[in-house]
Amino acid sequence: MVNLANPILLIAIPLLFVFLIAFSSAFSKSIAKYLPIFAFGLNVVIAIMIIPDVLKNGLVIATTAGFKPPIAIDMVVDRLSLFLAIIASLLGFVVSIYNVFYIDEEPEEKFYALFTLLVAGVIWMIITGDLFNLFVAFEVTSIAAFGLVGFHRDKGAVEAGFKYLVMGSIGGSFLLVGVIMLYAATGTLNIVDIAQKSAELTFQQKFLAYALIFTGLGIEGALFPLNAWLPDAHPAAPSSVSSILSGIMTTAAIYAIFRITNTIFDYNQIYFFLMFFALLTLIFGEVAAFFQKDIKRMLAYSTIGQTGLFFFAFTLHSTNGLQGAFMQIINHSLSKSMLFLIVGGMIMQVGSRNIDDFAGVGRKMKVSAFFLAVGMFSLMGLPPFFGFWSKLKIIFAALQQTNILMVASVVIILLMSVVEGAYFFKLLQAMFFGKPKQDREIKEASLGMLTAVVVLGLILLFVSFYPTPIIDFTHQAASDLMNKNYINLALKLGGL
Amino acid sequence: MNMSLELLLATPFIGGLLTYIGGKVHRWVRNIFAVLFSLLTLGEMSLFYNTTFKGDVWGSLFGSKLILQTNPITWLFLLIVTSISLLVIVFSVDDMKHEEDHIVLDSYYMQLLFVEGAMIGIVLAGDLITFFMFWEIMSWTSYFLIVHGGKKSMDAGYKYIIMSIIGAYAMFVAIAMIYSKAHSLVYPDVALVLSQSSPTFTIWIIILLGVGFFVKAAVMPLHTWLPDAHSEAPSPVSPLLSGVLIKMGAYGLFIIFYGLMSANLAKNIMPSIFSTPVLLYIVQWLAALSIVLATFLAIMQEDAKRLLAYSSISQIGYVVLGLATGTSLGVAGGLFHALNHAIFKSLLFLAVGAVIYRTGTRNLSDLGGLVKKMPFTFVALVVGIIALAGVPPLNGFVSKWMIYEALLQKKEVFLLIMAFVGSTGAFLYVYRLVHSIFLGQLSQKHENVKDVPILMQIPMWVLVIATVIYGIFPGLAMDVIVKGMKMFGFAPIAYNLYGFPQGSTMGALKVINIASVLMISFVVAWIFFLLFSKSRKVSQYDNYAAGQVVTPELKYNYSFGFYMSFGRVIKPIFKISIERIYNYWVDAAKIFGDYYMRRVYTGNLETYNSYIVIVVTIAAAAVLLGGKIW
Amino acid sequence: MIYYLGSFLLIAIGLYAIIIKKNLIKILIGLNLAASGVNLLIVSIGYIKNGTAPIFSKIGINPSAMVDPIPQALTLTAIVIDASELALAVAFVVLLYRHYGTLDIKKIRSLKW
Repeated sequence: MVNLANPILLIAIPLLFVFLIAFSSAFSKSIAKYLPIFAFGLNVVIAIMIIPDVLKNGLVIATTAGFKPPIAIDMVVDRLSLFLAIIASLLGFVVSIYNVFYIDEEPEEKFYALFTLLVAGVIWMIITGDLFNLFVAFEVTSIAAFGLVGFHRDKGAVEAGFKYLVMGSIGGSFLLVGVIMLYAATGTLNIVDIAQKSAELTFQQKFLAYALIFTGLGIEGALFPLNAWLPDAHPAAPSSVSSILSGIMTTAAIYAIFRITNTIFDYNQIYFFLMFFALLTLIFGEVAAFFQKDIKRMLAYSTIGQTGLFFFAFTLHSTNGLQGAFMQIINHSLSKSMLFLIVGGMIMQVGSRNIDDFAGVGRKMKVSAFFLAVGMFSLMGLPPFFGFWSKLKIIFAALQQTNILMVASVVIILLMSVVEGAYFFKLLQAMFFGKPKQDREIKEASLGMLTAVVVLGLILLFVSFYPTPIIDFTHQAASDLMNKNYINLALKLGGL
Repeated sequence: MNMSLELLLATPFIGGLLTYIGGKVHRWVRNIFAVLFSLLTLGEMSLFYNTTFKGDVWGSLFGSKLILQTNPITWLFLLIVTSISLLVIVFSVDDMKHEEDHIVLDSYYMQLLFVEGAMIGIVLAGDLITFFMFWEIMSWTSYFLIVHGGKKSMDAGYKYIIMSIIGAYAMFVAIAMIYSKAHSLVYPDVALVLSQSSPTFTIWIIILLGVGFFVKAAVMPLHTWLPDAHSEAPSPVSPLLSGVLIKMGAYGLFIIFYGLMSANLAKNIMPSIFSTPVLLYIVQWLAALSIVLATFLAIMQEDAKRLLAYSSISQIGYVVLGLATGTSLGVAGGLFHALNHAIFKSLLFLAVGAVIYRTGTRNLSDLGGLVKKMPFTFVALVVGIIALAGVPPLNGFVSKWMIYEALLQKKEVFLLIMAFVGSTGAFLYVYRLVHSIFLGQLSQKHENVKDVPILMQIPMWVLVIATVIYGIFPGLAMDVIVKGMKMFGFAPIAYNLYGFPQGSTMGALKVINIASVLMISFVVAWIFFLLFSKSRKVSQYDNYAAGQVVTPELKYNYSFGFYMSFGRVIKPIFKISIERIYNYWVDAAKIFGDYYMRRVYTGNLETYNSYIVIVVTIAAAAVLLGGKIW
Repeated sequence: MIYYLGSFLLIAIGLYAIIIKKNLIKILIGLNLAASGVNLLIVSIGYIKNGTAPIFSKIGINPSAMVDPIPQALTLTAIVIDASELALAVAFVVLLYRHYGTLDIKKIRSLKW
């Protein structure tokens, strides 16, 4: 019997469906719409089937082509990458449902193929066990994303797509150079193997590569000042794509930085350097979001801010900090992708992206607006929503080291949270209590789109009111990462 | 495990949801649900009243337990919360009828119950995280109550929520700092750790927590949200905000000063002035400034609700002033004043709300002569203002007297004078209220005004009775207060049902005697008035002004700019506006953010690419230099 | 050594073109130059002077004289990726020209701040 709980299937199924979708248009136009739903539905099931294995062993390794690592390409799933993979598959599934009702522009089958490819690439990036695969996944994701950002082919979309493409390509090149430098130094591409062999490398050999890899991933991961493509690309893309880009793609790149930094380049001083980036990202993202007139651009900048926040939590380099980072990632992925979906539906009704035109929409689109408020509250970190628990954890973790630097960063984080509250409340206020500007007939979003929103919203509400399992799980994942269980278990389970 | 506290906490939240769902069925289902669930909460509260629970665990977080507890002081605040909420909801049933939008009303009742639940949570909290969680819930739920449409209420609500968030995050930092030291946030553990920690640490904690509480309690430099929010909120919400919500700040101050920091205060870690630790002394001064300045501002208002809002700032100043004295008498007075203020300020807001309900305006100069049209509301308002001004038979007197007495015993003369000034000023503005609304000339627009419906009268009746009862029998409240303060290590005060007996540490006070003396003199004066009356009843328009016969179209009595000459005297004070200072800084930050930070994203691809190259270069250079750029 | 130098020079020229040049096509040329530089770098890492192809076709080849095969595989992958990226980029340039009527990057900045 074939073991279905195999991490490779997480990538193989969506990739297979990409081809199916591309060819399906030869037979039937409409079938392409529904294929991504099946693909990611299957993915979610498989990801859930992997859970027991991961919980038991802490790590699941799948190899290809009958070789043993480090020669073979291997997929490594531990708690951290598993939960990210689950979130990615889930978002892929939910957003595919949304897409069926949302996308009405030709060429549809190409959109669905690229969309499936995007999510597949993200999952690939998350569960890959070697650096070159990371690069390939990075490029696959990027190319799919370039295409999807430019999908509308109007003025803004093309411009955003082109800028993203140029910056993304530079990032890809840097990443590749960095990977190759590591390969030249150690003769292997497997992350665990590099971690083993890089111990005897000199500082310069090791970290020159790191500087390049970090820059490359940082471009995709929206770290300031490498993130200039993001506020252009997110609004230009169709809302369902922005949802994936913002919800999981930047997160996946940040995850890759987490993983590589923690496994290979675990060096105390590097975290100060990274913290600098994290705080800058946070500040510039939130401040810029405050001044936006375009609702999707505002959410995009808010994504930058959130990225800064959980990247900061990561740079604390403690179990609690990592746990906070993971919780914040869950919070951000669920809330922000839900927000983009809702906003997409609202833009369809309002016919504009200008915040002023959203006055009074909340009273017409009640369900959407309710979940919008939930998502925003969660992002702001107001109790009883999940964002509160994650922000609590991050602040507590930060203040565990009581030095002046930490206190200053906490002050910055909280000030930026105030800024975040300021612009979110401004929007919510206009939406619920403002006087509608035009007499345009505004109806609730279509049932299918609402389904996607409600599914995400209910998951968010569920984890908000019952956070204990997530807290326990992320704690375990964080201590795994801190204790380098990734390396230890990979060695034990024959990953090498 | 005892479920009673969880039940008490959960009832309003569940009730809120059910009320919202009930609204989908019919509006009466919703109204009945809302009243029923707040009644149920009050019922549960009175069922457990004055019992002490220690550490009911209701959840866990990051391995530490979340705890609910009670002591007599919490019951005092719970009494305020649950009863005022019930009255407010009963009042809303008729008052909010004009709102056509169903969903707005459904969520209105839901939010009312949520705010009630959140405040119950704050009071019941046995650890700082529970406290903070409900504190935040209270902030955002009450925000939705304040904003109800219209530009002004939106601005007011926005200011409120932003200041609340700032205050809450200040608290958050303090809580996180405590957690990093104590690894537990349960009150006794926190108190233990704080008693052993260094003075600088403690002072930081007090400042940060204090900012949070001061914002909510609207103590002077952080009060700017209150006048707007309280006056722009729907009329049934204002009593909840003014009567109850700002008391949470007072409760918080009580908890940090006497629950968590009592050991520090006792150990005299800081220098003391007038046998008060210097931090508390500063708090006293802030409170006293609140009293005086807010009173002056209230005198100058033209808007009835704004006047009451400023009066709230000044009255909460008394509460904080009392709490910060540190003596048994002062703290008891502060707590008692919190209860009293909740009662009479709610009464006043409801009465003004009733007037607004009938006339549609809250502009004092547009009103007048309503005494014949709305006699009951008049009585309620008069009782309220007598209590507020601190005139003997009613409740405001006793608590103010206790605070004066406490200040006198500590020989803090300046503060005492300021408190007196505030009290005298209160006469001015409350007189304004009764004069401009009920006395004088009836506006023609208001010829057909009737008194409010019975459902709106009931809450006012209840509050009137409570005002009188607590005024004549202060011992009823002192029971709880003294018992509770004993648990916080205060020396007990001698009291009896009617006041304070002779021979205690302070002068004797027997309110019933004062009340009877007043009553008798009032009756005597009335008899004289009846017997020896030389007056003759004339119509209001049997009069002349500037040689002209007055007609109903003309306004012949003074009602706009009532205290203009007094205003000229105190004008220099208002040249400094705290709000303007805040706005200046906010604008400066906005300009900085807009022109220097946002414009990093120039839209120019070359710039973006050079950012990338710069980052790579710096990173590579840092590596090549051996990672020693710092 | 000369290979390393050459490839880094290529990357540097590519980056220079990306940052300095205003023309969209020239930017793309810069991108591709940089990518070629990277590819050259990869191949040169595995290169051994006078090495042989890493195929066990004839008996008697010394494995240590073989060129490292992995970089070559990597290069192939990277080339494919570069090609597809370039194709997409050129498509974008065509569309940009239609919308803006110019190829000057300085004029294509409707999205900012």
